[in-house]
Amino acid sequence: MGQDAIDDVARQRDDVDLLRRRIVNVVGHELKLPVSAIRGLAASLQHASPDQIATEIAPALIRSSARLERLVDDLLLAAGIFTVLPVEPPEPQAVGAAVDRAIAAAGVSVNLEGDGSTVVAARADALDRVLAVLIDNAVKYGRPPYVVRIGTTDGAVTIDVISNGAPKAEDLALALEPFYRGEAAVTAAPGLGIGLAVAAALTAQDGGRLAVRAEGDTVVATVELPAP
Amino acid sequence: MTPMRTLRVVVADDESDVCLMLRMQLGAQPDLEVVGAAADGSEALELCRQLQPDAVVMDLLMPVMNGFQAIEAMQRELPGVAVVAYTGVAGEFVRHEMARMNVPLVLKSGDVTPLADALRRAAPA
Repeated sequence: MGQDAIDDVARQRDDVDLLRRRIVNVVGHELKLPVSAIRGLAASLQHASPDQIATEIAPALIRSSARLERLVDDLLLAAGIFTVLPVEPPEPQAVGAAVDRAIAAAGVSVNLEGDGSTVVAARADALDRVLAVLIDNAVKYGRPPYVVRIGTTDGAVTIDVISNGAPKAEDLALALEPFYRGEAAVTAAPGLGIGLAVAAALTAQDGGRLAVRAEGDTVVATVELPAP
Repeated sequence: MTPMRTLRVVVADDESDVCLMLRMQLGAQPDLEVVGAAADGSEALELCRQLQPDAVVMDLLMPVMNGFQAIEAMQRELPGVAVVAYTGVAGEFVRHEMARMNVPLVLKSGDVTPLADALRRAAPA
């Protein structure tokens, strides 16, 4: 092996090492927040009033531990370890109702286009999670108006989540890569960059696919799922 | 005997559960009173203008106005309010910036003892 090849290998090893440290750092940060909150809130149970425990501390403990649980599942899925995928079979789900739940959880105004009574074959939790990721991404990294468009093709249902503000071509091409965070994501909020990778894994398990593309100045994330 | 002085503290963190934990844990200290909580740097700045606390606990990664920007504004506009930076993880950049700005840095933990001590040191009686 010549010196140039040895230098190439050394550079690649340094790049991988840097990437590994960056990923572990952001994962550590995301894990630490709910863990610290849970520990501190648990300690505060000793001196809090029953009313504070019931109305503030208990809900916060449940919220933070649920976040931790989801984070563990997401990390496994994003790493291509599918042992935490749902075990229930897909069942008919009304798309409009699932979209309504996701919109309500996001607390934003979204225009719904198409037939909300359209039915897909999916796991309810997985569909909710996928839509939550897409709407959350639209709100965090795009601009209003936000639109969810329900359509049908041969034997399949499409759900488009649309926002204004198309990302850079490179960011779009790598959007489904786990731990990749585009320019808009890095400057908008902390995060792991695994939401779309998790959504893609959940969609694929239900026999569908997830794609993200630019259309003019809008970005369109499309979930395609089989009709029952 | 001199009565113990109570430090009036504002906490700023966009994580609502961390904010609640800080309110509960710092508020349980006999010499600390949490007088306000903010979800971003801009809110923290406005609260400090209104409440004139002794100290503020400032998360660094927050929306709207991050902690770095808020600390600069605090030091310029409200130099009498002590600032303690509070963050989940701190790389070289964060450590260097806080040292440059002469702001004590505390890592987030469910044990707030180091944070309470840092507040007492930053805003002495």
